[in-house]
Amino acid sequence: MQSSQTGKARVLIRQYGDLMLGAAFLVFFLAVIIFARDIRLLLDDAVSARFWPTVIGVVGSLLSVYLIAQGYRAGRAADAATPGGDDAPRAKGLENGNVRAVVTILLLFVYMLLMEQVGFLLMTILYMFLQITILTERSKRRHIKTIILSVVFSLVIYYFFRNLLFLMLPDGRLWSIFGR
Amino acid sequence: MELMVSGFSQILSPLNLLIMLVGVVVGVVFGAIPGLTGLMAIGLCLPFTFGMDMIPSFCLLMSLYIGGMSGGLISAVLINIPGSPASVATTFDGAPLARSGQGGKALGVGVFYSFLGNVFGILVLMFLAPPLGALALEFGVFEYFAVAIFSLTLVSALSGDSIVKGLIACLIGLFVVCIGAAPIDGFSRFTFGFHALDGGFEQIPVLVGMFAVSEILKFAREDQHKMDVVSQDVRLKGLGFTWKEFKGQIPNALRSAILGTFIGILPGIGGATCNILAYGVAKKSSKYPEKFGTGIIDGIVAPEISNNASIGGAMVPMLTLGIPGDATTALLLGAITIQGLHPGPLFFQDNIGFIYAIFAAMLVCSLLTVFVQFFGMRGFIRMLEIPRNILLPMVMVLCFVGAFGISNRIFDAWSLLFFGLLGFALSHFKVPLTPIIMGFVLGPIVELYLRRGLILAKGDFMRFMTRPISGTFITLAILMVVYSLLKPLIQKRKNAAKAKTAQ
Repeated sequence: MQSSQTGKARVLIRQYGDLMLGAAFLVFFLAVIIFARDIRLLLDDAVSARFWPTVIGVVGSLLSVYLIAQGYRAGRAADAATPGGDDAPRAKGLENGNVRAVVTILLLFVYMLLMEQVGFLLMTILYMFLQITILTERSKRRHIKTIILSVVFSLVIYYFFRNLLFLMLPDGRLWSIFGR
Repeated sequence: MELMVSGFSQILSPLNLLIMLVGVVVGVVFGAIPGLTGLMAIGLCLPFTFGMDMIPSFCLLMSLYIGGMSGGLISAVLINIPGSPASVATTFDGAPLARSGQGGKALGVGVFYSFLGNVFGILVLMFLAPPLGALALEFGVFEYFAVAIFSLTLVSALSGDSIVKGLIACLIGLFVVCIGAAPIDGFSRFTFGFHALDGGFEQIPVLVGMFAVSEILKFAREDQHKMDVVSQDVRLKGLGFTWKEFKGQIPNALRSAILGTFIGILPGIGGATCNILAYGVAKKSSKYPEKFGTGIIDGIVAPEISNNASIGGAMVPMLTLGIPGDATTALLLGAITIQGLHPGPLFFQDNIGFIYAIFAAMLVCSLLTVFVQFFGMRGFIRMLEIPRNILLPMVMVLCFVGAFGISNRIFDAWSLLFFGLLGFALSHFKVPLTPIIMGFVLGPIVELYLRRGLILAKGDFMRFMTRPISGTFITLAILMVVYSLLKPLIQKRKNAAKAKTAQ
């Protein structure tokens, strides 16, 4: 029962995708118009710093309404063509593409978030290992090879940018524990 | 001629040749790796030039510029990620051609036409610099605004299936560039008290995030069995294309080279704009536009010859007027000033020897780039054999380093991730990303010149329409939008009429 409901939701998103997208854009461009009113002005002139964002907001809102109408028509046409839901089976865990994409996004967030604390070198080794593992089919994973690759690549990049191009990659605060 | 010989004699020392060779290799590598651009290579190597003499320092900078512009095609072809913004359009046909097992041919065409583009741009620079500089000087705020709006409309109409989505995407790009200090009065906009946003978003994290980070996420979502990279036919005959194909490309190449040089001359619009424009024009004027995007060489020739031709073009206003043609020439302008020179109308007269040394260095660098890419091509093709599940995390790390390296702040890395997520979400709903990039790159020009123009015309927009050049470009832009919106309706009516006659 539940799977049939998610199947229907999937079809709805596919058919009315443009309508939902248009609605999201409309909210966004209306917000642009509203927040543009808060911009400070040097002179009370028509062609001020507010002018251009307001133009963007107004034109964007009009185009979004057009997209909503277009999306509604396309959705209705698709409704008539394919009634019912999509109950195609979906893979579980990391074998499912959507799960892999979400885990990758989370991994990137953690990578950036901990970069300044843990430092570039350690964080990059960890990121590389986890990211390669996530993107590799279970049967093709070779952990030792992945670890060696992650460590060597991270060290080369760190040395090259740090010592040859003098880029101050974050060292992290972990080293301070060891009195550095 | 004597001046040219003297130019070559100034640069053809073993040390200068070595500097140029190293510069070209570094430039190509930076251009090829998404997240690293020729601009960044110049930025990172600029401190090295402070201690050098004028000629060797310019040999290094020009080799990085030319190598970086040419290198972008390698990753555009091999992994469908433009190595730099100047090779966005190269992915449209380069990647499908590589996917069909002809990566060598795609690269051969790209390298060869990049070289022709370089030479064409340099020749234009040498022979037409003074009069062309004067023409660019004629362009006022009205003309700049009109050309930018025309470019934006063209890109919105051509990328993706729906012009409405294209235009919305373009507006998103134009909005993103509004974040930060406003032009003219400098008040901060849409920063919500977050000071890291005061300076706005840097160009590199936005561009790289949209194309590279979203590519990794798209890859993660793909079915695992689709991961394997197609095996490449590495047997190359010459440059990979025939004499017949070369002859067939002459009109396309010439048109794109002229377009690239002209766009390069316009300040603020460079390789990032002209490769997409040249692709669009090549598609529109082709006898077989439906084949574009399937992997035909016309779609590689147009962007690659035009982006390299834009180098010579961008140098015209920089050397004659002291106005940079793009972000890279802005950096070069800084380097010239550090050496104690001040480009401007008198610069040509006073430093003619130095100018011809620059021309000679540009020609030598173009030739070196062909050799480096030709002899390194097998290695570049092998890059495809590195599985993408290993290559893409490496690219991600380099993107991070590139974004962080701009001004050593983690904020730029966060904006890389943010625009990656935005690009991923929008492309899921089939919103084209190229107009966002174009909006972002041209946004500052559009707003600045629109506001300046309206202030000059005391709020009367008709001044944009009554001047011949700006009026023509704006009318063309409006016609393009109206035509694209009406096209489905006209098609529907035609189909209905056909169905009726069939009955």
